[in-house]
Amino acid sequence: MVRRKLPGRYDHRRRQKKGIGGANVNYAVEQLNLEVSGNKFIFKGKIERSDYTELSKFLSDSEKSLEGQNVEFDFRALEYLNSSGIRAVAVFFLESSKKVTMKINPELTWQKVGLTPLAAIKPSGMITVQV
Amino acid sequence: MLGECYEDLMSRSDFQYFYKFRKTDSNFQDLWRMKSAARESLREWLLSIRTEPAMAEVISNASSELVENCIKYSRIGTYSFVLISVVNRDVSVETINSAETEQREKVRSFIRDINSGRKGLTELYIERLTESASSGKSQLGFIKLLMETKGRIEIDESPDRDEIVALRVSIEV
Repeated sequence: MVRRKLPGRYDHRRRQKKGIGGANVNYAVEQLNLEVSGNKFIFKGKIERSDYTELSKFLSDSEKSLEGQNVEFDFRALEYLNSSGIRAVAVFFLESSKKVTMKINPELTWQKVGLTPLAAIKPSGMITVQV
Repeated sequence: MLGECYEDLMSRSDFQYFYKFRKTDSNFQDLWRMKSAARESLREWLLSIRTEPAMAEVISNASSELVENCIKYSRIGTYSFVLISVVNRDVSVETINSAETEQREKVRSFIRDINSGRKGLTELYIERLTESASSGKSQLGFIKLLMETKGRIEIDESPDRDEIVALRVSIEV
């Protein structure tokens, strides 16, 4: 059965209430579930939107409340992201001042081929890839 | 391309997967959902004819990126056609859609540029990722699908095809 949750929703109040570390913020849209836990963004499911404005805003808003200089993007459980989505992630990385670690699943060609080059869009060391 | 080679394709292909759709001024979201369903369905179809799972994923994702462009850029009221053909170890994904002049020229110019080999695909991919979204040059989906499939892309530039964008991606599995 296809699970649909429209429109995307998230709750920063919940995160602020629980505080950094134990916090979990969820953004769910279509078949994507994006969880923010501490400084980790964990992507699960799949997403292939034509417009990523809402997701971009969620990432941007979430980043403002992160502590420290490092952030982790865990894509390993993300089954599919179209090129527009990859572009949205790239824009976020470019605008962020934090060091990013991406965790990818090398068994998925789209991740290995489509996400790995993101490490090259900023100066060396600002974005790293872990397989 | 698809139209002129259809008879030929019908006779020489081992398997074919075909669908079409018409864009209206109110069915964008329906088409977008259809595209997602077609990607899943195509992957299953490729698996059923013993395509390697990784390759089935790559081909269905590539097809999906091409169809996204058809949905985004087709003129209202026109049809788009999608054909996936399998002959031995060769797979081709073809799309035909009718687009505005500016978009047609942009795609044609971009594909000429890719096929010139002036820049490597990864270099081009990174370049397009770092350009501002408003540059209008992205075409990221084309680059991504070529990197993933290791295939080649052609566009029909016949003068009598002036109103359409007819693309073929050829992939060896």
